[in-house]
Amino acid sequence: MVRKDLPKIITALSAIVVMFSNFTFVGRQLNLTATGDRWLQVSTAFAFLIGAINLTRIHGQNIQRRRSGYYNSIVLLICLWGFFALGLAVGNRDKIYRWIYDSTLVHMEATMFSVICFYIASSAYRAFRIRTREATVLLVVATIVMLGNVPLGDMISEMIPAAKDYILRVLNSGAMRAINLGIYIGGFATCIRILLGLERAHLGGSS
Amino acid sequence: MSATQTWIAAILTLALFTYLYKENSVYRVAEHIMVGLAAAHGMVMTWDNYIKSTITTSLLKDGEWSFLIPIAIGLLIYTRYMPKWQWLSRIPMSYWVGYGIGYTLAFTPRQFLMQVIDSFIAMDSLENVVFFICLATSLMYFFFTVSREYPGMNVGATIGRYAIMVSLGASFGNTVQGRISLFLGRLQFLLGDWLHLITFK
Amino acid sequence: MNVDQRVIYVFLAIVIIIPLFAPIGMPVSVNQDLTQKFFDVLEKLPGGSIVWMGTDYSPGSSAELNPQLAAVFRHCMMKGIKVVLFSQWQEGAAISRNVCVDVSKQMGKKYGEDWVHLGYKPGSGVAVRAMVQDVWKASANVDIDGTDLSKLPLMAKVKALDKATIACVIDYCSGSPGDAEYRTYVTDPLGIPLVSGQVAVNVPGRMPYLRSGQQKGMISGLRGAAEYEKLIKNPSTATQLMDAQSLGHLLIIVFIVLGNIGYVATRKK
Repeated sequence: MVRKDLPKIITALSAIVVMFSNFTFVGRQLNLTATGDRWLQVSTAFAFLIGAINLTRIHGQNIQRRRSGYYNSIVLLICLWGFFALGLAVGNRDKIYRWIYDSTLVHMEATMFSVICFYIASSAYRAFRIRTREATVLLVVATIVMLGNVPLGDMISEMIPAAKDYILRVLNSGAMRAINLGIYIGGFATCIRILLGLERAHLGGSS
Repeated sequence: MSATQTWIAAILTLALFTYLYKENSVYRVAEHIMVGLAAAHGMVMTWDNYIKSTITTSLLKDGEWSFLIPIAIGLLIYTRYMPKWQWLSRIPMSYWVGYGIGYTLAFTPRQFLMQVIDSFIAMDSLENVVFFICLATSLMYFFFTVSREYPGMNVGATIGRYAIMVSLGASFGNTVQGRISLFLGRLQFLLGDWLHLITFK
Repeated sequence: MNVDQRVIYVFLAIVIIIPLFAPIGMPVSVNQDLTQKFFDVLEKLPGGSIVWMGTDYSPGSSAELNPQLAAVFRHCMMKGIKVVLFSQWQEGAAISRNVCVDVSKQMGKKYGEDWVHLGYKPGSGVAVRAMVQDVWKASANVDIDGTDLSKLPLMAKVKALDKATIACVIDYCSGSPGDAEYRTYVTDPLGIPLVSGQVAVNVPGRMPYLRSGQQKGMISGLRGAAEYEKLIKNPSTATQLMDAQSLGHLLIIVFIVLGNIGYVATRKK
């Protein structure tokens, strides 16, 4: 019972304390969230090893079972714990640490995201078809926005950037606001479900 | 960056770009290096920028021993790897989620209401009328509790669908801009910093 | 119809690279709804004001946001506006700091007096909320370099992220956590103006907040950075890259048209 109910009680209590601190006069005077915020920062900070431990378990198993490409897992674990050990020893402000970080991670992360540019070009040619009226509207608007977002659109006609601005400011804003309102309402509903203990996905269970 | 750093960065960049030709082992190695370093960097940043100073300043210097409680809560997450004590790992998770819910319910209604209040606009210009029509019909598109058989609902939902398509088209146009910009950033490095073929200001 | 996608990749790369070697020099106009409004907010601030800059992005978005940060930071330094930076993303701290160090050196500005970088602190929205209460405690009393905040003269004036101290919040954001945290916990409750630099992908989703006044201005992607460079009369990297951006967009449109011509022709058969 304790194992099942204690997490739900903690969830509800934490939420109630925060809401009490913000919604009530007494709560604001007590200012419990001033301490609570710092406690949350500290507790989440001390869980910093969880990702690395998970990676180690998964890739450790790859190495143990000699799965295909297991040498990649060896490379990953060496980089992971080696770089971490270096960071612990000298700190992230050290020259050597910065040297490695600036020459590897910054550029690799940027490159991973930049590759998507090519996929968009490929999908533009192979997948975007004017099959329905809705798809036609989507592609026409996309074309206007693409041209309006670059100086080329200004050179072709003043109407293009003006049309793009109108689309973003008026048409897009209306639809996006409707979508955002739906997201907010869905978020509230989920929060209340978790508060009432109806939703236990965050604890590894089903609703 | 030094010349050596630039060469290392360029080689790793090109290694990742080889994926565009086809899946290969060079790309796989580079990808695994990136994942390992990224995970390590996250941990080092948290340790250096917060945990170390919390222990040395807040605990040892200022004597805020109450911090031992959240430290203990945070450390409980590691019990997930001990089958007998696994249930304890739900405690920090429930604390974090509960706290987040409290903040969401305390602060997000303002965001929501400000958006709703701003939606009640004077219909004194074509722009405002069009905006409101897009908003109302897009909301109608997501009403599933009222049947689409009613003529008003059907027309409204259809207009809403087109409004959403306009929004998605705008998103696509901006996505193209964003992705090409990211590639331009890589070209700036490869052609400017590495090969010195172009000078960027 | 069935073209190897690698041919498409090569075409795209060539079309984008050529204008880098042979610039066309297409003029950049300033978006009055977005960039101009952002500029106006900062332009109205008196010298000596303190602004809070959130640098909430990773290297994956740095190609769009670094030029924005450089241009806006330069504008602040030109006007004598003091800047306090903070990052909710781990990598955002280091990359934004490099940008600010470069601009600061060029303009002869001093770290600790004209600007301070608090670095990354864990907790995202909670960290921001903690900053509202007490910046020093929420930063664990140290900046990005581990320097005690008591040694930085600017920080003597910045005890809390509140309306009395901070004239404006600027957030460079590529996702979550980002400007939503500032909007929820800082700018809306406390009435501090918020302007943001966004990756282009985020802009359509942020337009409703611009409309409702929860955001006062926005810079959109690399094009927005080029516009801001024009406004501060310092054309730089973003402006140089606009020709390539234009041709890249044109090629994508050509691909869409060609693909649909092929589709229609195939359907008719």
